[in-house]
Amino acid sequence: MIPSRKLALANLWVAIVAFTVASAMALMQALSRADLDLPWRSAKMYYLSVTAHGVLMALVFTTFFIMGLAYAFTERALDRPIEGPKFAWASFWVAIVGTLMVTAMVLAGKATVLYTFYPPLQAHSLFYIGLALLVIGSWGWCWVIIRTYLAWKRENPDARTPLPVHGILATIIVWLIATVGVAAEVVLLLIPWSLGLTQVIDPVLARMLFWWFGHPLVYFWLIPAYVVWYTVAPKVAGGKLFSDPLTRLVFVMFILLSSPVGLHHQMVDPGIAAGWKMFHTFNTMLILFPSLLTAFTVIASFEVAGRMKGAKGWFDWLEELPWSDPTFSSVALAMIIFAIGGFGGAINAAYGMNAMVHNTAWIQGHFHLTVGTATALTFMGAAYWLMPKLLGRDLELTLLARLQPYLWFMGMLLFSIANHMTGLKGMPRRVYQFDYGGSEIAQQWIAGTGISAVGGFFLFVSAAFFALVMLGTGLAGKKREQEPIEFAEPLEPPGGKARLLDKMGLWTGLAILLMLAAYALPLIQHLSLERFGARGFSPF
Amino acid sequence: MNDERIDPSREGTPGLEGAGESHPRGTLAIVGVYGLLFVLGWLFIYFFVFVPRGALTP
Repeated sequence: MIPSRKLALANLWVAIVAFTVASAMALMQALSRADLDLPWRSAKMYYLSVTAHGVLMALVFTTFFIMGLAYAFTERALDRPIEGPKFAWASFWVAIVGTLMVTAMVLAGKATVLYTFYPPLQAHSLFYIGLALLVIGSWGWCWVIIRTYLAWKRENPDARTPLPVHGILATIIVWLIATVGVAAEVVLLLIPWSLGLTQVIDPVLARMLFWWFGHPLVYFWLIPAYVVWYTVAPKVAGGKLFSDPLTRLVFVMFILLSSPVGLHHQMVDPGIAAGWKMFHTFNTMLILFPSLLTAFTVIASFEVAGRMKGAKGWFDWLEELPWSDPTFSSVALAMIIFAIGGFGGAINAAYGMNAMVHNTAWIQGHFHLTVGTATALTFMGAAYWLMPKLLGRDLELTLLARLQPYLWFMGMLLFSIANHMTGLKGMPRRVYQFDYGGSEIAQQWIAGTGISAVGGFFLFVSAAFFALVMLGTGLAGKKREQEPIEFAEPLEPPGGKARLLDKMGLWTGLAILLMLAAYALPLIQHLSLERFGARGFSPF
Repeated sequence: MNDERIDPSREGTPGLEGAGESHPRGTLAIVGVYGLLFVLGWLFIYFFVFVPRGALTP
């Protein structure tokens, strides 16, 4: 029994509802982009749905899912209740109030600023205040998990940090460092500007602060997915984790390298010296390494599972894996998709080639492979495994659950590869009318947008299957004894090996130093330039 | 592929013996091929897509 079961479930249900609403918005965009004559189709509705989809998926679904997962995993792995449950609930409600404010403003058409909310596009002040509350609520969650870990450490001074908690702490460290940037942007720049306290805003400074947050945000999404890959998937596959120290090394590398990379999103922005952009390019290339290590360790764990079932050849262990288990297939297919996404990421991060794909459909193709699949599909797979345990109910509609990851995989391949291709041909992203009055170059994009719309339809059906399975399980799943959460054991317990990797204070300090090295001078340089503010505007 | 199987009825955890001690050669092959494709794909995009488009600022 998990004492904070209700808290974990509350967070997970919010995430599932946000995911479902955001999926409906995505279908509308995909069909609209394919130039289908839909009812109520308009530029205003298109941009409203792009904003709602981005905010609900990237900021709400992920954050609440990660908080719910972390409560359940931390309490189980540390085998003790969380510290300060009342504070945890208060933080949850702060985040809910913030989410409701943000959602209401977006759906009312008063915050059509997309999920990146770049100024001088201006939203209603309640949108920015809501965002701030969502982040403050998440900081409360961070505090609860850290307090719980420290209390456990006092009780078990010589014990190794359990691996799931090691990964969750890495997630929290990355999140805390990242949110400093967005908090500064929202509180110091956007809220006063939206309230009319300041007349103009510096868009480049706002973008620097946003991407201080925006790229580590990717690892805030990804590290919990990796926690599932490392500590759940090998168990579901019937095997063991190949290497515990290698896993800890990966989490530490993410703490160090997740953050000093944000300028690779601003390769074409003025006001930032080229040398700093190059420095961030190098850091971004370095962060490919922990993901490659992850691919090795997790696939090796699957190979161990296959060999434990008797496989002896080079690849026959693949046949022994539980491909019909929705948790396993979600993780395995998410990994395959992520392998393609990693390749695209290395193009985005290359200083020269970035200009070729910048703000094209390639970018949306890329991040739907990473956050849209490596993270989202893993979270769906984790939900199939975790929700029945937390609810004390059987998973319902299991056929839909088994089909869902494959539908997502197929839909995402169609959607994303088509977007990569049209992006290379120059099709801009986030443009409602992409035919430019029938221009010749735009004709080359029509087939690709049609294919991506078909992919979007598959994705919508897959998302609907997931929502139905969750709803069916929550409302009608057969009640049963609560099954304990069990994590994969390593082939060899870590013992005293590589204890240095557990020293989170040390890695946090080094990560802060790296952040200062990466951002202090670019910010000082930018602030020392003559700057011209921009007045806000709203296109609708 | 080799179809030889460990007898699951033997003593101890079925199939566990040796599973972790053997080299993960299948994994190394998969990750190695991926790494190769990754590098070749990146170079392909660089030399055959990016470079032929010419410099951005001549």
